[in-house]
Amino acid sequence: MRILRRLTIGQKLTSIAMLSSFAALVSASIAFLAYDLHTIRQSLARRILTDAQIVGFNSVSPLLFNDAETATTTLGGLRAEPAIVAAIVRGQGDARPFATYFRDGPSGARLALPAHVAPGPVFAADHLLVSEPIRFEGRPIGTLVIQADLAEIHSRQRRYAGIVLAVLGGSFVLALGISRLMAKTISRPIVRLADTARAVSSQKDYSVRAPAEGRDEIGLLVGTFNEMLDQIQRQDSDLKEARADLERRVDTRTRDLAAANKELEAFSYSVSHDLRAPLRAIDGFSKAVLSGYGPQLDERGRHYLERVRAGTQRMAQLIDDLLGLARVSRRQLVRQRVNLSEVAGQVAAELARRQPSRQVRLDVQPGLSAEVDPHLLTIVLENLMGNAWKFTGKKAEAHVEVGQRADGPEPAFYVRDNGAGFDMEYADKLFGAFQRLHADTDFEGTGIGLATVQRIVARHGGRIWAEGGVDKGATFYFTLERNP
Amino acid sequence: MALVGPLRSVTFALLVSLLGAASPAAPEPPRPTEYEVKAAFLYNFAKFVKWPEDRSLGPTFVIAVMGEDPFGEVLDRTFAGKTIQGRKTEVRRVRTPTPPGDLQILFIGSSEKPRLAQILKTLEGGSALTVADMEGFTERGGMIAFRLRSDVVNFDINLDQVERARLKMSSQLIRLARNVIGKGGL
Repeated sequence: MRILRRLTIGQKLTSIAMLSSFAALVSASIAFLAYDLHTIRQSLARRILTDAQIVGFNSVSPLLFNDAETATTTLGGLRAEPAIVAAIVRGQGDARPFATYFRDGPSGARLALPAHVAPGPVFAADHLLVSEPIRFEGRPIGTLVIQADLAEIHSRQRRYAGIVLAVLGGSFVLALGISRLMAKTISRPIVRLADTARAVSSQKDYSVRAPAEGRDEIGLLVGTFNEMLDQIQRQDSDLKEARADLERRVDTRTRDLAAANKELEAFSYSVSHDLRAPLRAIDGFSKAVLSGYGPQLDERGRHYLERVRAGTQRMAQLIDDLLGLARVSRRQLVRQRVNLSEVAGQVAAELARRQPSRQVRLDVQPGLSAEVDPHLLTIVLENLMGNAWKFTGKKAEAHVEVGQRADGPEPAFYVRDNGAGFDMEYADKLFGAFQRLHADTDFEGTGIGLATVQRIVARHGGRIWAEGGVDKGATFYFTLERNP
Repeated sequence: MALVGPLRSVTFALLVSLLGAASPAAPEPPRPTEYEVKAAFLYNFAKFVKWPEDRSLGPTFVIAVMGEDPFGEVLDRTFAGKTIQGRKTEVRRVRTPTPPGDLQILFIGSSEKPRLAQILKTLEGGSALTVADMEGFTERGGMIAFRLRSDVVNFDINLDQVERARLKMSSQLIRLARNVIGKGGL
């Protein structure tokens, strides 16, 4: 059956037809040969038995009158039956032959006929033995044994076998021709269908069609296949059209968006820039009033002026941060291999220098590196580590940790602290500009740092997210490369 | 009486079967004498000949020996308790031929050779099967003549005489005859 699997459909159909017709012919021939063998054996046995009865009857008087000569003459009558090789008459209870007959002359006399043969016909491999009792008035007076050879049967069987073989051969050739023709009518449309399917699949050409033929199941299959091709072709062209349309629209939108974004950035940059000049004036003149007219003001007046100055400085800081955010967006990204651990160390040193009174335990995993823009990375670490520094300000044992998470779907860097933390419910608000989760009185800040960090991470094609809990510290994870 | 040499043992076998005698398994049985064989032949002749069912057939089937008797008690033993054509057999020794119907088989001893023509004439009109040991018996009007050729007993037949006596003789018997006189003879 494994061989069958490798054949083509045409070959399979031919093989099936050939095998079944061959099996039918062979079994019919075997049955015919067996029946013929049986029949011819029966008829030979009957013929020899009849001869035996006639000769046996004619041997009665020669036996009774002890006339071996006549008995021999009587046996000689068996010459009419060429199959009989030998015949022998024995007197009752006498082992020696009374009269004999040998077809092939005295040379055949060597044939040893058994002394006792069961009555009736007995078939051996190459001969038939028939034993006939010779009776007179109901009493046995002798036995006649005839041996016939089966050459006739064998030659007939050989002849029949030859005929059967010839017929088998002839019908094999005939059946082969017919079944091939028939198989073609089934296999040809399937082969064409397969060719069409292959053309469609390899060239993505949905305009070809399988040639339709016949009204049988295969014709139906071809028809359905062609209908499917129709639908696929239609859907394919619809899809192409829709995609082209979509691309056009996306292009337009992207262009619009880019233009709007640029405009907005230019606007916010110029606004921020232009806002600094009056602010500087306010701060400068407030300072001048304090230093020039401080003694003339009372305590309250001086305090108000101090508040004006603090407000303007805070606003200046806000404007700087906004400008930084805008710069981050406008700046060209230049990637190079950067040692993150080293940058984290420099940032930590700067933070420690600014607040020498703080005792912060810092752990930086050595050997962290990434293909990033070094300037922007520094801004990211400054913000995240600055936040960590800031929000651990009220902890007795501040602890900040920088490292890379090896597990998870992507190897993310992280900055972890054991500070004030945040409520996970507001986790999605962390990265919005001007969004602050803590009161300004608790932790000062502009609310722009994380927005800037997110902008930088996004420009690198990465992702940022945070985990934490109120008073349980916070961990900021970020990746800096597009997922492979 | 001439007791001739040993005959072929197959003859003994057939005698044994005819007489219903002792075991055939005897390793080397004594060979039958010439007249044992001839007595058996007489019995077998009766089996292949049919006598007409009329007054020529009496209540018993009579086998008669005329003149010098070469068989002795062998003949009586051969026919003892046998029936032929539905009648019990009877063996007689006679001096003269009896009227028709009195006997069915007549064995004419060699001593009667000079009176043969007269004896056969007496039997005319009857249905007696005549058998003899004599040379030329069939040529002289007898029916069956025994012959002895190299220890083998066989016989001649005069079919004309058989038919004249209205006897029906089986072809199985006729074809065994060495010489046949009359219709169908060689």
